[in-house]
Amino acid sequence: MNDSSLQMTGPAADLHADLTGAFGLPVWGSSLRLNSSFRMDLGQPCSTDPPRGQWRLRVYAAAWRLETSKAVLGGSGLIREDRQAVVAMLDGKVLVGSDVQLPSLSATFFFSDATRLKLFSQTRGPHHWVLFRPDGMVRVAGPDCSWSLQDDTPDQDSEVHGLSGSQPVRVGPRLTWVAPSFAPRPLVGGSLRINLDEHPGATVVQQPGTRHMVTLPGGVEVDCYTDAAGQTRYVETAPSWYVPHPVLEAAVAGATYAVHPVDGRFAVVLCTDEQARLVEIVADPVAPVGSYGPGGHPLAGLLGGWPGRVSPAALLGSLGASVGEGLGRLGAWLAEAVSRGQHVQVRLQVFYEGAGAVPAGVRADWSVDGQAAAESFANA
Amino acid sequence: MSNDRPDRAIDPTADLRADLTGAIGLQAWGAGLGVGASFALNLGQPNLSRPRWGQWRLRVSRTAWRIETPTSVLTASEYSHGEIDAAVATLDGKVLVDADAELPSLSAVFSFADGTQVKTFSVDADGDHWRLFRPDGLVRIAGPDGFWVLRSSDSPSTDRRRR
Repeated sequence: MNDSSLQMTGPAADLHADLTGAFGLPVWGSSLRLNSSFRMDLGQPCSTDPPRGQWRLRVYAAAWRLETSKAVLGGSGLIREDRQAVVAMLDGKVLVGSDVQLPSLSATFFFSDATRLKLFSQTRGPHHWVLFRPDGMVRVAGPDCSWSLQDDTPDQDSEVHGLSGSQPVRVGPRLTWVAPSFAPRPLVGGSLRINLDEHPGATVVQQPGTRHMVTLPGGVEVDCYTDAAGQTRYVETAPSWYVPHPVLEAAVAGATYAVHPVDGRFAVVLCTDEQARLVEIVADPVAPVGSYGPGGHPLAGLLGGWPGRVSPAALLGSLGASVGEGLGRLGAWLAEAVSRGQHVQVRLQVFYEGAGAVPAGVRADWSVDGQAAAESFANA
Repeated sequence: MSNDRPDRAIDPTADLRADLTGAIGLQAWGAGLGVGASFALNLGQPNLSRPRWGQWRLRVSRTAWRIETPTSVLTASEYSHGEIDAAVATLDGKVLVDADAELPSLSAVFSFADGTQVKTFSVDADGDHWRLFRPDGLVRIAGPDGFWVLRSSDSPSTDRRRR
């Protein structure tokens, strides 16, 4: 592949130059991140914490596939456990070549064992993928068809960190959400497929320690993960056109509802308490406000910006327009701070009076460059 | 069931071009969004029994995909609903000039006379990546694990899902 660089022009030649010194090195540190995003390292570990290779490829919103000339080894459409196994296969593979397709900036990385990693741009961005170089520069593919070389700042690799435990969740450069109620997916021993689209009368009988892959009428897919006691603890769905159905309408106690990213952005995560009340919201406040349409919840504009696409709508149904307006103002203000280069941390908690089921309001705690502030929005 | 087994020595591009014999040079029509980010387009005369279907109907479903020109991306599978809807509709009137499908993924490219291309990118997800219904009642199906079959479109679907 190195010889072909003589004919390369544009982004393909740029990437080849970015990887000068990396060809011939084995991959290490491959790690699946949120959903199908992942990273892999090449070269000596740098003195960062955690250590990073001299080169680091970080795949964000691009679809991807690992294949040989004869077989697909796996790709971003697999379930998480299988995706993880495919990403782990990258460790030890020796990089021998690279290519970039125009206009999409989809990239291919070639390895010495004749496997290839193909990336496929499928969103507007902000990043399809990025490559950190040893000289402190970062090659950035996206948004859209933009191709740039930027300074490596500490935030560059922070777009979406893992969703484990009480770790802060970064959803964009300089923007961090704090969500202590966030619970990781329970470890499951098997999976069960329930197709309510083809068999609308089927009864869902939950099994312990199982991933229940439910296809709702209309084709919307929802994955419900149960713990060892058979209790649903994690519900994962794509931002789809809202389909009223008990699986999504009925809030589950002590669970995390995660809606996959769209356009490369975190969409929304909702957490419930043991009374099945919404207690935490994690979303991207930079999303356009007020773009909701018929059938969409007023907060849909704030919590992702797609009309009617916040699927667990029942969880948001008890929050009224006053909260939406307040959070809208705050979101716009925080978005400005982020765009000025300031560092923003946010936590949104829904609070109640006693054991009441209807939220009394939402408390927002945030800090901008370390300056902390808070405001409560009454649910009128 | 033997028809549902993928052939071992396949040439998907040759098969796909054969499937589209008679469709090359025709205009796409009725391009529109389905459930989620799936979409379909038609070629040829309306089907007598299904007037909203053409003699050929391409349905792209459980795969990543992108519609692009040589210089810009018009839309892709994870764009917003409104953007996908608008861009898919622009396929109407475009003249199909070629198609190919690559191994081992069975990802396909459908090329139109004005340089626009529909590209699918199989990500090894469950279910059929794309289907091409033909005028003779057969349907070409590309799915995971090299699943590549031509069978009657009236046949019940088989569950090849493995996750």
